[in-house]
Amino acid sequence: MTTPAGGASSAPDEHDSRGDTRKIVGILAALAIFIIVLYGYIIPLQGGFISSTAIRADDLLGADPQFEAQMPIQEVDLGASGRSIFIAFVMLTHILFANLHLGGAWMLLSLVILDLASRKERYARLGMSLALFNVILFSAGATFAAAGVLFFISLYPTFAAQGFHIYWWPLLVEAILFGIEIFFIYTLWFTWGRIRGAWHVFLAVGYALSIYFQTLAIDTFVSGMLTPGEKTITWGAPGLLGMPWIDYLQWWFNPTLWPLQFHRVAAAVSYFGFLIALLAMLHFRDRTDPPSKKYWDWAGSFGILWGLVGLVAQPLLGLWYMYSIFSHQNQAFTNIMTGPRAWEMLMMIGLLSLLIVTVSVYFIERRERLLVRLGRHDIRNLFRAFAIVAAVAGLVLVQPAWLGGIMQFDPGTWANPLGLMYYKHIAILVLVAIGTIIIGIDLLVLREHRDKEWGNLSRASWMAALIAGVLGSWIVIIMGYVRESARSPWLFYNIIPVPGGQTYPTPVPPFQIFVVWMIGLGLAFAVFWFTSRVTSYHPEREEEV
Amino acid sequence: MNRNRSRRLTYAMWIAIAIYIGIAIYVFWHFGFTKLPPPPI
Repeated sequence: MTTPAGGASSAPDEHDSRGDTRKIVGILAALAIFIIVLYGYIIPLQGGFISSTAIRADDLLGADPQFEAQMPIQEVDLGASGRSIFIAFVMLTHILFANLHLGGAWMLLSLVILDLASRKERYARLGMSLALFNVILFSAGATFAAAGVLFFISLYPTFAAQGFHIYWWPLLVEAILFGIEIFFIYTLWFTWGRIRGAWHVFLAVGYALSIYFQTLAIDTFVSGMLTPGEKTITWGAPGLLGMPWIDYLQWWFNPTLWPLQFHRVAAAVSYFGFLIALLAMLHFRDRTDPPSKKYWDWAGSFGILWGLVGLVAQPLLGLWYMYSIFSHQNQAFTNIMTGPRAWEMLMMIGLLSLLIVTVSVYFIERRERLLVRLGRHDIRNLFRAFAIVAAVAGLVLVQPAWLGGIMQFDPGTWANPLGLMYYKHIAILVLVAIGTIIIGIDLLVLREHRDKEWGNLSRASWMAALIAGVLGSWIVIIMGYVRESARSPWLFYNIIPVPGGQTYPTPVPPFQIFVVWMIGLGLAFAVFWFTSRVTSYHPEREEEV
Repeated sequence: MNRNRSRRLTYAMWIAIAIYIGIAIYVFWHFGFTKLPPPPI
């Protein structure tokens, strides 16, 4: 796509307005090869097709009978894993909608402040677009959440009765915060440009905090399923508190609550940033007028930077989260790190590596013309080096630690000398450093020079931003699946099992979950794009920069 | 924005980025290399 928008700017030599699309082909080929090798080779050789229900069969024998199924199991006609597939689809799709708020609120707050500080039209325009986008899609996220609750009650009644009882107070807080959150976001959008700036900032902060605490409320439940606060569920007398206050605190503020909460916020920020980049690219292609081309090119870059900020925060928070699981639910840790679910972590980190490579390619291609014009060959070469080093780090990170056994330390397994965690820690650190330095260069070194270039988006950078949007969204729902399958075959770890025993194995098998991911992503992207078409404000004239 | 102020802000942000990378190295050292399970010998 050649897009000489916004007037004739003579293309400097060495610059190809199409960009180097071979890099994009390379990224897509690497993704395809990775998925094929993972599904065709690594998963079978790490026991990934064997259910946790079968592997942990002996543990299930020790489950308290009162927490087994008390009613006939409700099937949904999707096979032995049907109930799990049903819940996975509803809840993972819910995450894609709910994270619009958890991540979007912070991006929106930044736009409100930037609008106030700089008075540039583009900040207000994008802020209004995001606010209206989130206002309209609020109901979709809430609908999936409500449907999920109904499905939990119908498909897992014993778990639902116990869980909703333990978490009554956090869930009440969450329900109230639904109202507060919609008040803030709706008022923020409706009063845009009609009230003083300080009130606007207040509304944006209120929106961000309400969704933060709403997520914290539901995270007490979600984290408590993986690391329950007690060894069993012991009820007391009827009253406002069904068990001693101290026991409730153990359940709610369990060991993985805070790492999960902060990791979720960072992941949501990253997801929302990359999603906005994806939508901006679609608008860029959809619009033909130069002011819109410039504006959506800028919006894509703004989204990518936010995506990168959230992305570089995640490995640190993720390590804290993994250490908490290692310390407090060691068996779950072995499931996902040295056991049959390790492929999920490989997939997640593989996509994360590819995302960093893709973002590097975006900056190589997007800033190529600018860097040539400025004569900054040093930065140009640095971006290229980053893409290569990130690819090498990615190759280290996708190495399976072992093959030929369900558990890494089973007799007879082959230990991969390249799959040591030491190397992987270093590789992740390299990716974090690359991401952080890219943010610094783009924001601090090139900031003042970028404005003249908006609109000249090459095909290669356009495609890189699209791929980043897809990968950034995919990673979020893989993370949700990792946490759920780490817990299998338990609903509350070592307390309430998935009812039905070996007849209803969990977690959702690899191929089925792949289909769930594709359907969830396809549905969400279609809704996002069609909503974005009616919620986006486009520039009516050229903005003075 | 005043040019000197802009330059100071830029330096401050580079320092913040360097500190973040330092924190990342510390976190990985603290949790990753020393506390999570070592590879089998």
